[in-house]
Amino acid sequence: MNAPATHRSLELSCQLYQHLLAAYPRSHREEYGRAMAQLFRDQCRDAWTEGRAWGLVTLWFRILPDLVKTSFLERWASLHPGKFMTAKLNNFFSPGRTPLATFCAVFTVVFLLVFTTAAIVTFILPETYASTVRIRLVTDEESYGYTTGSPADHPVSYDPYFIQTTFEIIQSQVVLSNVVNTLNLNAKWGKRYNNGEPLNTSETMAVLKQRMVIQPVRNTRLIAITVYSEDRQEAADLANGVAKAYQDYRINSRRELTRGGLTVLQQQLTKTEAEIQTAQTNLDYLRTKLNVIDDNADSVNTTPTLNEQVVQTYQQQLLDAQRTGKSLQSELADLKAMAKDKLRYALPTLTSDTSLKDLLEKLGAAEQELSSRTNNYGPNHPKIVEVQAVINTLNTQIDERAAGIMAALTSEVNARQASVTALQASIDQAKASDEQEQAQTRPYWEAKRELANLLDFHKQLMAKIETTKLDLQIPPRALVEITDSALPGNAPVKPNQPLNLVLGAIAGVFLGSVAGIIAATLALRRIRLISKPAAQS
Amino acid sequence: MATVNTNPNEFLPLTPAVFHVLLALADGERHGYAIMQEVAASTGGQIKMGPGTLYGTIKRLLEIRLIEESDERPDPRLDDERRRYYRLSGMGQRVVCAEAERYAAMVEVARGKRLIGKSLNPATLGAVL
Repeated sequence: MNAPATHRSLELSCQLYQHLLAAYPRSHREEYGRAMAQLFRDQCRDAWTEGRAWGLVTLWFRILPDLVKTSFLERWASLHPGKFMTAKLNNFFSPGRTPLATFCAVFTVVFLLVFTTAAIVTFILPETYASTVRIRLVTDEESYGYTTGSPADHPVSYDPYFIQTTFEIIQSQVVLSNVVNTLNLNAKWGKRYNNGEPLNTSETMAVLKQRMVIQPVRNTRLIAITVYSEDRQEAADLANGVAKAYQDYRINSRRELTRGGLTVLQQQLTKTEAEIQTAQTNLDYLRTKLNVIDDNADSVNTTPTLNEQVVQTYQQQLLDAQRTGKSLQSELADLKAMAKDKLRYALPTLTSDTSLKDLLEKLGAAEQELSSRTNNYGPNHPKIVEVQAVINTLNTQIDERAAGIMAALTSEVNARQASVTALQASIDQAKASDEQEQAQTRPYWEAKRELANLLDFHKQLMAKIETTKLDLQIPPRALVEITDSALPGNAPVKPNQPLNLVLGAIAGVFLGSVAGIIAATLALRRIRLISKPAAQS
Repeated sequence: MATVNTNPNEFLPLTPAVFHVLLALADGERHGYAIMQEVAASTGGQIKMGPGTLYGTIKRLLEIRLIEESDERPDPRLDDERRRYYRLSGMGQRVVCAEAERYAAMVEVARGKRLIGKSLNPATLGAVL
């Protein structure tokens, strides 16, 4: 016999049968109870060898009707000694029995048969325990926020298949094979289920998959991994093992990815350093060739002769000069258009010439004197002639002075016009000079900008490499967090003994009633058949 | 205690269980498990007697003295000395022979009516019985 004699199901079956022997009369039990129990034990071993637990179930389905029937007959025989068992059985359905007694007897037998079968099956089925581990999932994209910056730095895209993908990965070979190896399941389950021969990994994984249920926890990022086993500690170990294997898978995947990225970054760094070297050499060459004076290391453009502020100042001065010149030109044109008698009176308002003002005052006084003397003297009077001569002299002087002022104004306007032209020329020349120098040194500055870009990129690469190295050193536990470890279950989840017994009792009542009604109907018919000829006779 | 009959025909016909047990003991004394195995083997595994039926039958056969319990115990090294061995009594031997002859006569009748062939599979015969 391959099966160990101490297997729990066998022991339980034998103990149960030992108890069920109480259905037989005491005398029969004392005489044959031990032999019957021994025979049943032998049959159990045969059944276990043939079909394991299912063989036991089949045996019980065969034994229970035998037990109910023979115990009933033995008890009947003990009450009615001297009659053969089959005769007693025939008497059981004899016409002398009332339908009610037939119903009660059949109901009792069927009920006991069904209920006992349910009880036997319930008690001999191996107990199954369940343990659940819960893990919190974080996507790869989300996890970068935990290690290399805030989540805001890494916008996360929604993956609707993430949970389903995770389920498939957990049930995949990469995860389950680690569980099988870690817990040595090939040997352990081979000893238990394969007559001691170790299972291969694919067979063990298939068994493990059948025992595993993965479910999402609603409205969370948690998933529950439940594993069933007949050993409560093994169920917990399996559940924790699966969670740990998945966690290791995610961590190793991330590390492989990070290592690959680091290699690429380091290759890019080497390439960039070579480009920097080349760019620096080219820059030195251009500086010498183009005779560039570059005192500012941070500058990436030529220094203009006219900076922006100076150009603005010059532009403002130029505008002021142009505006003043135009104003003077306008005034000069107006003065030139005036008659001489009006011009002599307009000029003092525009200029602060005191000589002209004095001459005009003297002219005014002389004309006033002439007017007063004209009342007293004739036109040829010497006093009139004298005053008239003074007036003529003053007019001549005033005209000369006005002409001088006009000449001065004209000269000033011309001078201002020349100044504006010169200023404009200076600005234009400075601009042209700057443009020429810029065009000449453009290759140098472009090379310098390129070098600056390369240096900036090199700096970013260095920072990224340091961050990646840091990621490698810090284990990314946040990828899969085991929130609730699996613990050994306190009670088996299968079979549900109270439920099975209740269902067995209900089925027993139903089937017993049906069988009892049928038997009672048959008994009633036999009574009528027998009583009919008697009544006729 | 049942009445002791001296005429084997008075026991006939035998129930199938009784006939199978007597047939199993025809080769010599056996214990209960061996009887059950012999019955299963002779019927091609179609009849596997439960402990209740087997020991109920044995009890009845002991009462009417068709079999008797053997006082001899096998070598404990070869078998479990707690097992109880049974063997046919003289009357049991005659009864099983009479029943077998009765079946043989019936088989001949059936063969004469061409209901069965010349040779009959023992397992089929056992299952029919």
